Amino acid sequence: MNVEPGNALLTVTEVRKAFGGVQAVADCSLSVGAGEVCGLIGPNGAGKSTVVGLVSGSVRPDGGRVWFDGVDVTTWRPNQRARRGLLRTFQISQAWPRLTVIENVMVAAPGTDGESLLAVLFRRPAMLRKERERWQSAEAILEQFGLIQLRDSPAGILSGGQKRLLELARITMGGAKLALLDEPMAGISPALRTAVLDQVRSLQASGVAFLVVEHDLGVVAELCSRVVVMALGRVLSVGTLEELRQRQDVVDAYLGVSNQ
Amino acid sequence: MSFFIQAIGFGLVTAAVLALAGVGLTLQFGVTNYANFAYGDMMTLGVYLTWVFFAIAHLTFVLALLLALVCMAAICVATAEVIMRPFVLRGSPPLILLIVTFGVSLILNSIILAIWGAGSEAFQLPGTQPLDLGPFLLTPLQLLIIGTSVAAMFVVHLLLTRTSMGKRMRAVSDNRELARVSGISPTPVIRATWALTGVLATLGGVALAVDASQFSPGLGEGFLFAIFAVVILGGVGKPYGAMLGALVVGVVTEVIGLWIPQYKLDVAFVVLIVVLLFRPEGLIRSAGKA
Repeated sequence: MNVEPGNALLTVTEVRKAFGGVQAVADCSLSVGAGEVCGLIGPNGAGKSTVVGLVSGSVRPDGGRVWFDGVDVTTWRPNQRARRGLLRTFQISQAWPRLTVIENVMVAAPGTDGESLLAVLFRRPAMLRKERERWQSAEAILEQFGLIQLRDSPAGILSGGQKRLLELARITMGGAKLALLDEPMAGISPALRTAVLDQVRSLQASGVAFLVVEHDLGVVAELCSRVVVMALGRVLSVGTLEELRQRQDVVDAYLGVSNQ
Repeated sequence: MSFFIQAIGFGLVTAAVLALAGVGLTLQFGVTNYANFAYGDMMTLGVYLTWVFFAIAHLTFVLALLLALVCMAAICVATAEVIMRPFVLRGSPPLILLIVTFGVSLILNSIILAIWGAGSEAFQLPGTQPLDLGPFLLTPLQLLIIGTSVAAMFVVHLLLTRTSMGKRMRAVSDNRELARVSGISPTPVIRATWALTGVLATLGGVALAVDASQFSPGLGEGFLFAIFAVVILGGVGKPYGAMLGALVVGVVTEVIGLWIPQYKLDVAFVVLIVVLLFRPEGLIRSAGKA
């Protein structure tokens, strides 16, 4: 399967991954179109987080292929995928705790011009100008995400919800075309839930596509136009949440449990 | 009392040396995530290179030092690329990497012994007459060491906070996996860190050699454990912690050294143990890893 299948932004074909003797993902194929918000649901242990790892590149597949933005990225490292616009957030929101909030956003800026000490020594004016531009974009993004008053605080002091917003700010700075959100509502206060939902919607409006792993079906219903259901490492079904509610195997595997 | 204040003066000089060396070691430790036991020999090699350029090639001291800094930056990057990287790529655990650095230490030390022999050398710089500075009695060279250290710390601070490379270094040190998925390639960051480590090791080594007025192939190795005490005291991977740790260890060792001079460096470990008993994360409390 080395021909690019379809013209979706992300296409995953028949990926599998085993950890030791456990087949975390047995067979997963899915796609996400440009600007689409696609849900990924399933009971615990279905392999959803492994799929996020496989797509972002932190987990190497045992087989299958990952296509992103018209290129086969199966063998690409996570930083190469990120540079192309494939970015992720984590179930437990992650930040660089000892960097300030604005530094957390600035450091995610695309471009490789910060990667040389020689540039620091010999192209200082250009380097400093670039850094000022990054500061300004980062400030604008913090403004957008309501984090501007925390600009100079170390990210380690943020609450779970604030860190989630910071994650979204970071992937915005990183030029995300597709963002993988691994349980974006985990560990967030109700007040910040709405903020996170609003931010995801406005990013979608600006053209960012999402693959959202989420347990809360209310959130899935609100955000996702299409939902992929996984169970035991396999894709069980794909459709709108309404369609999926009609399917007995899906209800048995997952929906029934949370609808009781 | 005047002895006491005098000892604080010497303590500041020792702290200046420890800060230069400690910041280099802790930055590399934080970014690469393994301890480098060859650091003492990297310091020593930097000292010998400076000495070759100065005493044998008859360059001015500043020019000799600058040349040695460039050479040591390159040597440290090359060592990391040629020797350490294959082990890192193979996924060796930090303990194995630490043992590999022991090997690097032996290699560097043997090279130094083979080329320059086991005897001691000296820079023979002017400025060894003590100046009366109020309560302190310090030589111009010692003042120069303090000045250089303060200036170097300021430059490191600017590099870490004002440049993109510095921020990336801190990001890779804080959470490497997050850095990767955010598009930061660790390789150039690690290379830059090793270059900076080579520069700081050399500055620390030369400051140590100048302060001690002579040096031999065991110079850096003998001082390495005091540097580790500084690094652990400040919290591994925390350059500002290492600066504070250097100040504490430097002053305390010199002051206690008034009474038990033969155990001066051992005092560093007593300080380390006492501090860690009460603050296991080191002197600087971080905002929490998350």
